[in-house]
Amino acid sequence: MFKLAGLCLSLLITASLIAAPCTSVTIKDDREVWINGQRIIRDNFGVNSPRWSRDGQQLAYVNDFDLSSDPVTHIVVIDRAGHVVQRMPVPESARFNFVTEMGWLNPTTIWVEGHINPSVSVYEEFDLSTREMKHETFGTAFAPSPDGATLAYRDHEPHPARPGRHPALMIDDSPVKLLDGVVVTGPLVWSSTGERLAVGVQQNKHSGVALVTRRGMLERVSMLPVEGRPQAIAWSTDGSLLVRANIQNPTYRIDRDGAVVASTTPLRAAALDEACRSGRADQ
Amino acid sequence: MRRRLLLLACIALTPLVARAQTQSVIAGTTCSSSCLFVNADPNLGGPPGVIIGCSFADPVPIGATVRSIRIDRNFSQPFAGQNSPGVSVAVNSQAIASATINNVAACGNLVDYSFSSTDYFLGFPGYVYGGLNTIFFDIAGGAADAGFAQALITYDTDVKSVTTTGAEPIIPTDSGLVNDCLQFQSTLGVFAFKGLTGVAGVAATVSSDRNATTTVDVITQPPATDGTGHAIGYFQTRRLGTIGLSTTAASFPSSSSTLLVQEANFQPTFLITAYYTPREADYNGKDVTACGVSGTFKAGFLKEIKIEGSGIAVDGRVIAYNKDTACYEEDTCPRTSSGPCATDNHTAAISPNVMEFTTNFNIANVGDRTAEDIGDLINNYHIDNYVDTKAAYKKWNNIKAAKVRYLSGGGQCSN
Repeated sequence: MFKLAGLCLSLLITASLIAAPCTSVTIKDDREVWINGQRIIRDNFGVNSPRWSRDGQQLAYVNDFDLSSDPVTHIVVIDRAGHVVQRMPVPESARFNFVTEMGWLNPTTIWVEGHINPSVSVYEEFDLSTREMKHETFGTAFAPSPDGATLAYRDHEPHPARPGRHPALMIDDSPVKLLDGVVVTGPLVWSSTGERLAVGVQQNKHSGVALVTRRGMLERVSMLPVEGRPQAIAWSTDGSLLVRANIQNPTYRIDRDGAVVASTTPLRAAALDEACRSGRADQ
Repeated sequence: MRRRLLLLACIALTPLVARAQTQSVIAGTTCSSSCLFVNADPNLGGPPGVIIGCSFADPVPIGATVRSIRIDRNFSQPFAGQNSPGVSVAVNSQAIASATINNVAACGNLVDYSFSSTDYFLGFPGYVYGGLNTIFFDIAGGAADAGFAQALITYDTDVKSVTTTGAEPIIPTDSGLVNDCLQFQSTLGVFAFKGLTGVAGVAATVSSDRNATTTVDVITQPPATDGTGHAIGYFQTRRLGTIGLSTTAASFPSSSSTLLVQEANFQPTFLITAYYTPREADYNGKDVTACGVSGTFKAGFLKEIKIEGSGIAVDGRVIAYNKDTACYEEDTCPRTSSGPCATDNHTAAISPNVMEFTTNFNIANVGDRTAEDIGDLINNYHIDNYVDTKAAYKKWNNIKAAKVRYLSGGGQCSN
């Protein structure tokens, strides 16, 4: 009897954790952060690319509206009450003036992908405790693994890219061999465990996804029955992949066995759910 | 006093409704006999029914709409104790009314019977304007004496029109490129009016003069007009030009209009970032030699070229990096992907998903640009604007949601 009651209690607790609503974050006017319907900060220098820390206690975003300051771009960290914890300038040596992607590697390190030119972006890590910038890497489509220990990206290619040259998929600075004719386009999306990397690819103009292990071994390539390049990829909780296959937004599901089926699941909802569980904010 | 004020207020608040002013005119007919015996009684050796036709010339002014028709004719039942005949009246193929002739009288005492149609706001169905209309008297089940007939035509002179107005086209979010052509979409506003009154329930058909041989324009036909006489359809094409639209609807004269598909705003907004070509003058440090090019250069400048692709040396030479040879080489200018030199206030990198090379477009609050460059980082609704100095790049105000307007070139299709 007591065992049954204990089981029920643990089920109830588990259920309440699973069902806990994700914090609702809204960015208004590119300047205001609202959490659960309350404005917690207005920053006239801009609130761009906001991202929650993994514990959900801090929010990092980018200032890049203050054209009178030098440098223009700053990384700002606030707590849930809207107090500024850190405001760190992005030095000129970082070369970029636009952040295309940003995230938390760990509680004290934020990674940033900065735009340099049509073919090149730069990956930088900002240590919030030392206020130093480190780990400069050039390429595109940077994707640190969930534990922050592994970095996947497309190799650097100077602009303009020469015809026929296709940047390789890199994992921790080592090229990953894919199939002949398969070109890495991105995005690169890690599974929640960080064991696998889904890689947006193109072959014969068709959109597809390659699956690669953390160690850089190709598991399979699944091509989709439409032309274009993948626009977004999300991992479902059952291990299948949802792919927005091109700019016209047809969505496909790639099952764990590699079978491709047209999907009616809204990719954005799935991606948001994933972002919610991983504690990332989404505009 | 208060009641009068209330009445005045009510009058003031009553909306002005434009009502069609009707007029009437009498038309004589070819049924001019003063007493025509019609035997439609089998008991009297006649057939079960007889149809008499007579005609009248359209008497209404050109452009008028015939709203209703009343046919007047004298009838009587000639023989007491026989069957009373029924008379049904139609004009052309539209039935009007019927009656039973039950007055018994000699030819000199026929009684006037009136057969009135309903009021057709959009016009009496099947009426022949400017020509002859035929009245049919279907007499059945008895004998009758029929006198002369006349038609009372009630009409209005309100002008009927159904027209289509095409809004300035947009390039919709899911346009993409098909055979290198952008898609242009225009909202078609269809308006059906009679006088000043919008006419509801009008099903208009809009057609393009370019579809005579091959379908190049796709038209989503509007539904029936709403209570204000308005309906919306859509026009889609991947071919520029001036299109002749014709609009037709039953009971309305057809109309023509034109739609210009030339410039158009992209429906989605764009992210506008910037890039530049490094200049050696911006770098300090030691001078070093470089593989593939003569002379010395600032070491930081060469490193930057390796990252960016090319740079301008202090002596004016343009130095590019070739990853295949891992050496530097000279070029005549900072090169774009499509070949031309990158030019300040002119060159932009675009996504080939969204527009073609050589497309000329305008970025609101920035200026006109030409699509000359591409890169893996420029995907979908993102434009990278080329500026010629690092100072301009550093002060570039990234625009998150810029309006972009297609001007010419690139994705236009001539056929």
